[in-house]
Amino acid sequence: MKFNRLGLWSSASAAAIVILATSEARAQVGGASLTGRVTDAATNTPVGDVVVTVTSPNLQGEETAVTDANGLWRVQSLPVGDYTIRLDKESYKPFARTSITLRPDVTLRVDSQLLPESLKEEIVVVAQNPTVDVASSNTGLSISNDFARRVPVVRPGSATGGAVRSFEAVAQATPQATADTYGTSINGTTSPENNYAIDGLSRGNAGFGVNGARLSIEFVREVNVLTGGYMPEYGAAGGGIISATTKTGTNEFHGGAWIFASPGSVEGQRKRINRTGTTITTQPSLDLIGDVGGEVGGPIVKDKLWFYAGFQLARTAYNLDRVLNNSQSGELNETRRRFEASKEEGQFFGKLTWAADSRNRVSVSAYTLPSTSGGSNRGAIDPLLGVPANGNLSGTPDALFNEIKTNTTSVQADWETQSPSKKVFVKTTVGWMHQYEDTLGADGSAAGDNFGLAATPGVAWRRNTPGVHGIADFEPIAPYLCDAAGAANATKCPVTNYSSGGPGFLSSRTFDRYTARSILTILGEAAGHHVFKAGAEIEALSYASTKAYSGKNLLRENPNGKRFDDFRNYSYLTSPDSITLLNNLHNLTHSMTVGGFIQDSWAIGDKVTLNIGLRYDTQLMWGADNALSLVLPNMISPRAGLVWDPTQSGHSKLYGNYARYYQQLPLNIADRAGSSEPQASARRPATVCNPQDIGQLKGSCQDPANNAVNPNLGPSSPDQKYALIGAGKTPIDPDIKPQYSEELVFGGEYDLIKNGRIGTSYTHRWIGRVIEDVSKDEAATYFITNPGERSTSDFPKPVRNYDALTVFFQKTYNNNWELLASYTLSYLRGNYAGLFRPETGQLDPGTNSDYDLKSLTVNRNGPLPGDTRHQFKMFGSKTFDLGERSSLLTGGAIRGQSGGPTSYLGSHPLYGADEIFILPRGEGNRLPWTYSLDTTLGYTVKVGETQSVTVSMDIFNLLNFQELASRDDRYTSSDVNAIVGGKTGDLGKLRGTDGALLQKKEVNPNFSNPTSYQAPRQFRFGLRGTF
Amino acid sequence: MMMKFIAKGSLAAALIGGLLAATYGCDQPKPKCAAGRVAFVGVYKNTSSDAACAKLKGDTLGISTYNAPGKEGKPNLDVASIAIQSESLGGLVADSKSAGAADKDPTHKPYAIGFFSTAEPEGDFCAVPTLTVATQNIPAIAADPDNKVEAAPATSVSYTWSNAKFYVTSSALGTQFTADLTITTDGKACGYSVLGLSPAVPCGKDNPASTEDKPLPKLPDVAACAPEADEDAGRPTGSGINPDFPTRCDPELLLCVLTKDTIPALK
Repeated sequence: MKFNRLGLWSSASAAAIVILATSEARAQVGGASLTGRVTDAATNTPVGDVVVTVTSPNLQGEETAVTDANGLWRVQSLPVGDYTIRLDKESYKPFARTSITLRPDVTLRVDSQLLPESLKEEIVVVAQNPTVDVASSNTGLSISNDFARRVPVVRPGSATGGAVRSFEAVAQATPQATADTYGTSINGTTSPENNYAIDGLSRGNAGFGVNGARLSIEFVREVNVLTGGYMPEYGAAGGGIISATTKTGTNEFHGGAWIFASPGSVEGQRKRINRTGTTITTQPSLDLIGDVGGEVGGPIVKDKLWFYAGFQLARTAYNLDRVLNNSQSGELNETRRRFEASKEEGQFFGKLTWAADSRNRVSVSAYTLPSTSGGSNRGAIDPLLGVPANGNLSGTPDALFNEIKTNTTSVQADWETQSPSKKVFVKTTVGWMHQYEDTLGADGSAAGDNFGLAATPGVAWRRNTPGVHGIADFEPIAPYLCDAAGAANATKCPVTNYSSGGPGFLSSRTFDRYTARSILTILGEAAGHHVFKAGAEIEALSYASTKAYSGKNLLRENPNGKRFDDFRNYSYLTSPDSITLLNNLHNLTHSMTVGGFIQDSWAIGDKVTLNIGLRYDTQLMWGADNALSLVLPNMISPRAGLVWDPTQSGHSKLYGNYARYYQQLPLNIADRAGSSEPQASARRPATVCNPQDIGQLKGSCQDPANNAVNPNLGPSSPDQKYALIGAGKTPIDPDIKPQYSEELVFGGEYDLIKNGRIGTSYTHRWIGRVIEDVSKDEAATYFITNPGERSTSDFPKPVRNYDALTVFFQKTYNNNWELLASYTLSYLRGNYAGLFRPETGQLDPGTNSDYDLKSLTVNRNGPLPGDTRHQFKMFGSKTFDLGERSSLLTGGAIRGQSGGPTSYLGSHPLYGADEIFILPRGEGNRLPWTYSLDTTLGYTVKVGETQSVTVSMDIFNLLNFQELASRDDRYTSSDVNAIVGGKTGDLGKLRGTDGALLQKKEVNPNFSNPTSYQAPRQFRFGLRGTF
Repeated sequence: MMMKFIAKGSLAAALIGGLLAATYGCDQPKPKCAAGRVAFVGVYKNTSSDAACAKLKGDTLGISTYNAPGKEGKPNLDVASIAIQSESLGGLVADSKSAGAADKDPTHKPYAIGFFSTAEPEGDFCAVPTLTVATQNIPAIAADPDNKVEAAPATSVSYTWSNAKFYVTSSALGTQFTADLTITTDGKACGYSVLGLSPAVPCGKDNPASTEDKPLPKLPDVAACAPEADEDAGRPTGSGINPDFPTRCDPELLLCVLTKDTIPALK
């Protein structure tokens, strides 16, 4: 900026403000710091005793510091926001720097020059505001609520965002983040490995690790995404940290109301997904995604007590158009039927902040996020995926549809206190999160109820010999459309899979998370500045699950159509062939994690910053029998980084960091493996059990007297009718060690233009140890261990290597425009994807099928599903002032990414479909590049002093690109032997487990056909009033 | 006040951490007593004075583990029992049933049942000291050429198992055992000490010199016992035998057996 002789403030008024400031309440602690060096513009020598005053709309009052003999000053523990810095000293002209943007936890160095009053000649000081965080060695991105309003980052109904536009969805703007099945993958890890936090407390789902509190971005001020290189204060995650800071009331009343809607009527044309060989097809289309809400915040007692409150109501609705197809004449329009799949949800948020005195501040916040979805003749929206829970409606509505009810309620209290010297801070937080997720029958009956659909067994039909079923076997259909029931009907209108009867699996789950943590921060000086932190944290989790199969049993037709087997139930044998069927299986499991950390960020001689620290955690888990089921002791995670600013003026940095991250395991492992999930299966002939008849389905199909001898059990088995599928608790390797990954990050950043910097980073992250279940005897017995170590050293060692090179440019919002552009080149290779299995969607952290059997581990090494080589992301906005009272906002996002790998999958004789990698992982053709262009247009009119109204229109995928997003990787449904190290040319040699060459008819006719396309063009219209 | 708070806070954290460590230590929970779930090979070592008893070298044994009902109707994992049934006796029952000449006494079972004496292994072993007697009295079977049934005299067989001891660790969950067995066939008793291994893996290969006219018995093939797969040799999956166990192919049983006489038999 240009320095002029008039100055901005007189030193007298500045001094008055300084005095005022000291009497004001100020206890809002943030993690950001400002530092700098003041020199004499004429002599270039340091100036001591300069009063540095820091102000921001987000700061209650002001902060001051005085420069030392070296001209150095530092103000710490500042909240995020736009800052102004004033410098005052007698005999110098006062000087101010404005529009310095502090992001969460950053340290910006603002060097300044002061002009002596005595100076006669004109000196022009050109100063550029810094944006480079000179103290940290982490990578990531912080995204403000404003950014999310100006730039179209959250797509309507995206898996992570949903209709409520959840905060985690913005994380995908981060350079090293990509979408995966259950959320956002960071640095090649899987989304359940992330730590999702709101106001410092972990809000991950206690059972599965996915985000448990999908709070709307509307109630969030800032989302900080740490992808790597983070300090020990962040832990319990093997992935990244996605941390939201909620809004707080201030001394001025502010608020607003909004309504957003994405109508399906203007949705772009969706490319049809064709399925080969089945009569029933279902085409989904958007009906409406929308939300309405309001917020208000302000003082209750000025400077003492503030409040903030908000609510949101949202709805997601899709149409499912189901139609039957005649294999000869095509679509049968007479059979077209439209179903709705929809969900209603609400969000209610409130926060009180109390500045007890100048040194103590207490805040209490609470929110509740209820939702209900699906029901009778209405499909549900998958609570994790955000899309209709049912794909193809191949079955009756009672068998296919569920009612799903969820809620997350969180309460937390924070107490921030600081010493009179403002050198010691303590922040103590206690919180409780309660979550439930009930998957009910379409009629609302719950797992274990002995009435309604919950009491009706489900049936899976799948005959293929001598021929498949025809649609007339299940649904009345006019003979002229598909012929009458029989062989002709099965040829014209074949049905390979059909569900009837009750809904099958039902569950009611509740999750609780109790956390108490305290963090001590000490600002010290010893050979430079120190920010020393130490903390302790206790977290208790519990998971209560009630699981059941409707009618106690799920029947499955044998492919020969001659019998029906118990496919799934909860049962056990008390003596040979004597079964006890459980109405439901109820497990209550617990976990406790005790941890602590110490860390120091030491600005050595204020030239180089050394970040060093250590984190310690111990996790214990208890199974449903209240007995200890897993002990993960002594997780010691060292972290060390070095940051050097070559310019020594706050405008650049070079950094490197090493970190070890231990993974907190979600409770699913204790619920399933640690508590036993017993199942037994009998079979009965179709002659005595016709499940189409509801009387037989509940009667003769369940009568043990009708069970046939199972010849597979052999003459030596004491049980002749029941085969045991599940058994007792899965034992734990006595020498098991916790799961961790390690990471090296190197990078550099440089302020290129005012408020704009370029940067680059290289990340190498690798998995050190994994916890998984293993069977050394091909599925006879299992235990939980570290695969590839000790007694399982004959198994492949888990490998997951992520290498990424990122370059980015970020111009923070200033002068009405902003830009964030990044390109990432990355490689992700190995045999271990993470806490879920992307190929099958299996989400059983710690007990996925990856290392279950040696025969499953063949060919698994290769590019992992998250191996997206090239990623380009650009987000920008520009606001045009149209006179005094109105402005036009334009924003846009361009994203491009190369396609992920695909594989050739086959069936394993014990594990079923898609568990065998016929050829080495990733041997299939890569998916194509996908691009999208999203735009925002907003027109704002000021209707009063502080009131304004904005109308907006976001267009996602403006050009309606419909590139394929996934392919059918199932090469065959037959049980096959992998071709070790094979190439596509070797597929002719593929043999079934029976030793015979795979026949042509066994190859999946749908193999490599598209299974999904990019989401089509969608509009979001918005109206927002603010005051 | 604040320093006091910090001191209290750290003290509390250290106390809780210490308490957890002291209460639970770093030891993982022990597995529950159970027998391997796939059929065993039982190698019989004659302990009776009658040398004729030594003709019986072994058998395939089916062993299932059961739990008593517990809280909320769920299985009580601390009370487990096993049933042992030999292929010979099970086969006899199946044959007699198909010939319509099964043992009429419902109290006669082809399996022996006994309870584990402890919920968890003691020194890596779970014991089943006593078991019920497996008995079948099969009436005489008349020849029925139409249904390919051969005539057989009435027979009475009983298996008396005792002192069963399973090796139970997390990585070898009851897949080796020893037990005492007395088989009484039509009044004649033979005593054996039995060494069991799960799974029972056949290891016979065709004798190349064997012809249709002059069939020769199969030859032992130790490769079939290997836990590693060898697709080129026609073994797409491993034997399923725990790779920590030393095995050989028994030339008479043509089943993979442990090379040691005592358990745990480990490499």
